[in-house]
Amino acid sequence: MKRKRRNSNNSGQALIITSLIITMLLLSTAYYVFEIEKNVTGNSTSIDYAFMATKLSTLNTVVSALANVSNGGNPSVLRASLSRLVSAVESHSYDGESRLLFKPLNSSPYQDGIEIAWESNGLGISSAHVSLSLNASGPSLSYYSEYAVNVTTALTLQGSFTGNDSEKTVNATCRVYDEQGFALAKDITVLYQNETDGPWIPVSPVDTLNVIDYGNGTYSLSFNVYAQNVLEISAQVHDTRDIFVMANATCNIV
Amino acid sequence: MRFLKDNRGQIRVIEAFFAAVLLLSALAMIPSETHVGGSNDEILHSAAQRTLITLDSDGTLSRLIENESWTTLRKCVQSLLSPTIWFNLTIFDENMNPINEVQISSGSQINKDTVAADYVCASSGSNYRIYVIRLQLSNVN
Repeated sequence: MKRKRRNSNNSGQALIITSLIITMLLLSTAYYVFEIEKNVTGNSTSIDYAFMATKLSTLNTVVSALANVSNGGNPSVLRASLSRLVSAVESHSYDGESRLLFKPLNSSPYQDGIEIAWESNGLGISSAHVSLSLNASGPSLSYYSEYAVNVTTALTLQGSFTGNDSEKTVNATCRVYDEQGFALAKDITVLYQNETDGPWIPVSPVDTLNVIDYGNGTYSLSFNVYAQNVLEISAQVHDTRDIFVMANATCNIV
Repeated sequence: MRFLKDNRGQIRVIEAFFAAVLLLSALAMIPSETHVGGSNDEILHSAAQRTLITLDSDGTLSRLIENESWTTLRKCVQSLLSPTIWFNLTIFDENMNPINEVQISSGSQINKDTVAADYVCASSGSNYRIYVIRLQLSNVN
C-alpha cells in the first residue's frame, strides 16, 4: 500500500518535469523558426531585386539584338551584346560577386540563338533564345538561378483578290504576335507581285491602301491594283520593339 | 502532520507558475510591431533598386537617358520615392564616364548619411547601349 502511494506521488513530479521539457522544446523551436523567417524575409528582398534587375537587362539586350539582326544586322551582335552586359553586371555586382553565363540556343531552327524564318506560306518569324545562369555570392546572401530569355515576333498573312481582267481589289488579313500573345505593329508595309519571279511593287496611297487596326494585333488590309494577275502579297512589319518580321502569301481568286 | 505531508498544493502552485511562464513566453514572442525590411540602409537600398526596376520595366529609363530628358527623369524618380527621401541620380556609360551634365536630384543634401545603389540598365533599341545608374538616397529627417 505504501509503495503504491509513493509511486503515484513521483509520477506527478515526472509529469511536471516532462511538461516543462516539452514546453521548452516548443518555445525554442518556435523562436528558431521566427528568427530564420526574419532573416529569409530580409535577404529574399535583396535577392528578388538583384535577380529582377539582371533578368530585365538580359531581356532588353536580347530584344535589342533581335531588333538589330532582323533589320539586317549581323547575327553575331547577340553574342557581342551579351558579352558587354556580362562585363557590366559582373563589375557592378549588386551584393558581392556575380557570375553571369549565357548560351545562345544552337538547335534547329535557331542558329547562334537567332531564328529568322520569313516564309512564303504566310508565316514569318523573328526570334531569339538564350539560356542564362546567374551565380551570386556575397557576405549577406548567395544564390544561383538558371533562366531562359525568349523574344519572338511572328506574323501571319492571308489574302484573296476580286476584280476584272485589269483592275483587282486585294483583301488580306495580317496578325502580329510576340512571345506573350498578340502584339501591335508600329508600321506595316505592303507589297505585291503581279508576275512569277517579278519585282515586288510597294502598295502606295495611289493604290488606295486601307488598313483597319482592330487593336488586338489583327490588321485588315485592302488595296486596288491595276494588274493582269496578282500572284503574291507581302507584309513587312516592325513591332513596337522595332523587331522586323515579314511574310509572303499567295492570293486566291474569290 | 497532515498539512506537512500533503504537498499537492505546492505542486498546483508550481504548475500554475509554469503555466504563467508558458503564457508570458508566448506573449513575448508576438512581435510588438511589424518590422519591414531591416535597417534603415537596407530600406533605402531596396527603395533605390525598386525605383530603378520600376522605371526600367517598360523601357522608360533607357529612353529618357537616350533622349537626355533629365527633367522628366527627375520627376519620374521623385514620383516613385517618398517625399521624405532625398535623392541624387548619376548616369554613367559602360566605361563609367558620367553622361548627365546637369544634376538630377531633389535639392541640396541635408543628411550626409547616404545609401547608394548601382543599377545596370541595358537599352532595348536596335542601337544597343549599357548605362550604369547610381541612385543615392538619404532620409531628409
